[in-house]
Parts: sequence; structure tokens; C-alpha cells
Amino acid sequence: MSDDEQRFRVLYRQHYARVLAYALRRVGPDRAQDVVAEAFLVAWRHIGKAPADPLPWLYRLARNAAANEGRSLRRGVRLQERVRVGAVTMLAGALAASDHAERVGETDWVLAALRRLSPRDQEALRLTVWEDLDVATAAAAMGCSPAAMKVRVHRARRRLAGLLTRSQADGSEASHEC
Amino acid sequence: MSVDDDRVLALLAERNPVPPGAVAGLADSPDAEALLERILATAPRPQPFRWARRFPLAGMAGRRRGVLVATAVLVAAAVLAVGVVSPLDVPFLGRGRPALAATPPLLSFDRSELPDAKTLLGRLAGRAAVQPPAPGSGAFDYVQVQAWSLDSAIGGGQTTSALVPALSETWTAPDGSGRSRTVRGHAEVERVGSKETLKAVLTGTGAAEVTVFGEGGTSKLPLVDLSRLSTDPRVLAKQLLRNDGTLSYDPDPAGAPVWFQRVQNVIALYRRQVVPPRLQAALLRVLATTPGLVVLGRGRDRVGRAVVAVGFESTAHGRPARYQLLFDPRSGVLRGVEEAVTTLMVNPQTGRDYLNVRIPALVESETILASGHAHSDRTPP
Repeated sequence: MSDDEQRFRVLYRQHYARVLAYALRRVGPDRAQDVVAEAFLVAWRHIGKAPADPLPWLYRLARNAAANEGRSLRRGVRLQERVRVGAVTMLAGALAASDHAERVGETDWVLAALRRLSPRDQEALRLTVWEDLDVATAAAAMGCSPAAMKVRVHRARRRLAGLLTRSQADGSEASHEC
Repeated sequence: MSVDDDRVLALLAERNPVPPGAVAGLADSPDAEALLERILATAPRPQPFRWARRFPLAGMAGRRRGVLVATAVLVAAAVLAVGVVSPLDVPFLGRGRPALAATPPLLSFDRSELPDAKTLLGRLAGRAAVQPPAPGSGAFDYVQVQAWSLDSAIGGGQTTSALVPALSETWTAPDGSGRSRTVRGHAEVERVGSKETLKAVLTGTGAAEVTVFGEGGTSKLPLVDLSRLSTDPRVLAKQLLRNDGTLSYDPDPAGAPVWFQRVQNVIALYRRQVVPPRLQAALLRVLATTPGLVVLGRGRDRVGRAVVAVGFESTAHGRPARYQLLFDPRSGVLRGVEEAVTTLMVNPQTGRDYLNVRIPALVESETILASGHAHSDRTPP
């Protein structure tokens, strides 16, 4: 076994679950495994460039893979340029959790407000809250400086707070009308 | 009652779609193990190519070593994941040494009486700025694209190549909801390497596919808020870079030079949404700064429309390629994009190019047929 292969096996086993969770949170169970497969395939191709702490790098690869998925949907070409891994057959627990969250998200006022933020603001909050990354690691995942990330998270949090406050006020008014 | 900042984080954490621990242990699952082995079955990096000492471009090879045809690598894994087709479906197998793929000819251009690229794009920008708004009205951005690609599947040292045409229409609302319809034409198989690679190439061809964004679990694909893009080329050039926060598109591919990512983001804008005239003018002035940009000349695009073309070379997609941007000479509107590989990459196992083409060879073509606003996601403008 080559050094590259050994290194990749370790990286894969250490981070597979977190990258899968990242993908599930962003694209849902139907597409998550394709995103994971593409992210790790690119990681394998560039294993020589993997940083000492590869998790932010893997998140970036997964984010690009998710974007590529969207692009494929839009363009309808290059259909062979991604790994096809067949039906998702992951353990039921993760899927059930994700399915449940999707159903809840259709009506949940917090998730609805989150979706009204810019994609970058959404990503900043997801990385720090759902992925539980510190600012420096989240910054590496988004490819910006820690200072810029700190500002972005702060602003995103305030914007979301504002949206939630307005949402509550609207709900309160609506209940009075009723 | 207001929601304070700290409460926001708690509310969000409570709604984590995949709670901590939900995926614990999945790295040891059979699916994860199978994926790992499929990935490891592909080459991590390319072997040095025999052409490296024969072609002048190989002198650039610091980047190129370690690069493999992206399509080839990704498809190699795809091939490992597909089943085996019936021999009855594979009439070409075993017919001896195959011919090279008959890719469409490159477009030809007349370079005479045209200025340098920067001047040309500046003139086009001047014309773009005074154009009327795009046709139609309504909330949906509609774009119709005719595409053609050389899809190749490589596995077990075998290559199958096929020419695959496609016509796609996309309707997208500002919130990212919408609909796309893609009709992928019948593949013209140029060469069959194996049953597995043939199956991989033919997947999804000869059929129409409709995708609804924002329904049925499909993610919404929000449009870029064009009102946030500056018409000052210097500002716009920065906005077009990744991580600026203005564009929602991610660059393609990651790790490519900044200028290449910028060009890709410009193309992505046209591919997805209706670009207003003044922004088009600024985009043209940004494109004029692309390193190595040259004027190719006047000509006709794939559907016979008059165009003026500029081009540049890059290895960002994995092997040396020439990119051509085609513009309407009267309005400056981007009409299409073409990509042609320019350098041989020999598969050591077959002694032939990985894509089985004669160099230079067109590998992808996109022609933007229509762009405008629509009231519904069912009808064009």
C-alpha cells in the first residue's frame, strides 16, 4: 500500500461521517451520497495537497460537489462527470433524522427565516452551528480570513434575529386578527 | 418580543437536520467501505505522459503533472458502479482497432480587420450598453441552451466515447424555485471500449428529463441578485471572484486560477439568468482583462448566427484546452462557449489518446439560443 493510499484511507475513515452529515444537511438524502463520493474522489486525486487538518478542505470539496450537482441539473450535460453510487442505503437513523428535518423545515419559522438570508450568510451559520466549527475552521472551509468570517457570522446572526423578530410579530398580529 | 442573538443560535441548533451522533459509525458501514474501494481503484494522479517531451506545451508541466482528464477520472469510478449490459446491446464490440471519434469540426473564423481583444471587447461593451432590455416580462428568468459534449467513459484501460447532444430550457424565479427540461439526444457512439464503459456513456441519453427546483426534496437554486453587481468593471471583477459574497455560484473548478474562475462565473451568469445590457457591458470589459485573450475572428456559431470570437488557453479542466467565447457582433451578447482539447494525452495501455480523438478536438459546445423573462415556468418569453 502506497503512502498516498494509506493517508487517504485514514483521512476517509476519520472524516466520512462528518462530510456525509454536511452533505445531508445541504442537499438531502437523495443526493448526499453522490456529493460525498465526488468530494472524496477529488480529495483522492489531490491527496498530495491535503492540508494537515483536512476537514475544512473536505467541506469545500463537498460544497463544490453540491454546486456541481446543481449545475448538472441545470445544464443537463456532462452526465458522466460524477460518481454514481446507486441508491442511498445508509443507516436508517441518519436518513430518518434528515427526512424529519426536511418535513419540519417546510413549515418551521426558523428554517424559513434562515432560507431568506444570502447563501453565504446561511453557510456561515450552518458551519458554526450545525457543523459546530470554530471561526478559524469555518473560515478555512469558506475560504476567507478568520476576521472576515467572524464579521460574517455576527452579521448573519443579527440578520436572522431580525427576521425572526419580525416573523414573531407577524404571527402575533395574525393571531390577534383571528 | 425580540429574538436576541444568543437565542438565535439555540433555535438554529435545535433544528439541525442531522443531529450530532446521527452519522456516528457510518464510516464503517458496508456502503462507505465500498465507496472507499471504488475511489481507490481510480488513479490518484496521472502517470507521466509519453508526449511530455514531444510537445512544446509540456514545458508548462509544473501544473500539468498530477493532472488527469477530469472526465476520465470521475467516469472511471462511475464505470465501476454500473452493471453489465447485454451483449445484444453492444454491436460494436470486437470489431478490431476502432477509428478516432468523429468530433464536430472546430468553428472557423476570419481574423482580418479586427483589433486586439481588449479593443474588440471594449467596442462590444459600448454596443451592449445601449441595447434594449431582454424580451418578455415576468418573474422567471428563461434560458434555452443547446449543448453538445463528447462523453467518454474510461475503465479497465478501455474507453467508450459518444457524441451527446442536449437541449435544455430553464425557468428560474428569484428565490431559486423553478423548472428545467432537458432533452438529451441519442448518443452517437464513436468507439466502444467495453460493455461497462458503453453502459456508463449511454446512461440518460435519448430521453427528456424534467427537474422542478424547490419541490420534492430538490434544492432551490437561487439566482444571483444582479442589482448587487456593479457596472464598474474594476468593482465587478472583484465581485466575480469567489468568496466575495455577491455571487452564489461556486467557481468551477476549485483550485483554478482566479481569472479562470472569473470567466466561469461570467459564463454561469449567462447560462442561468437574463443579464441586463449595462451589466453585460461591464462583464465584457472584465473579460477583456483575461490573460492571454486573443481575437479569433468573425464567423458563424453552431446555428448559423453571425458571431465574433475571442479565445484563451487553460489547463484548469485537467488538460490543455482552448476556450472560445462567441459574441453577437451587434449587441455584445454572449452567444456560446466552446472547449477544445489541444494536446495529446496518450493512454499507456492503448497507445491512443484517452479521449480517442484527433487533436485538436472539440469536447464541449454550448450555444445560448434564447434568454428572456417569462410569466410562468411552462412557456418561453
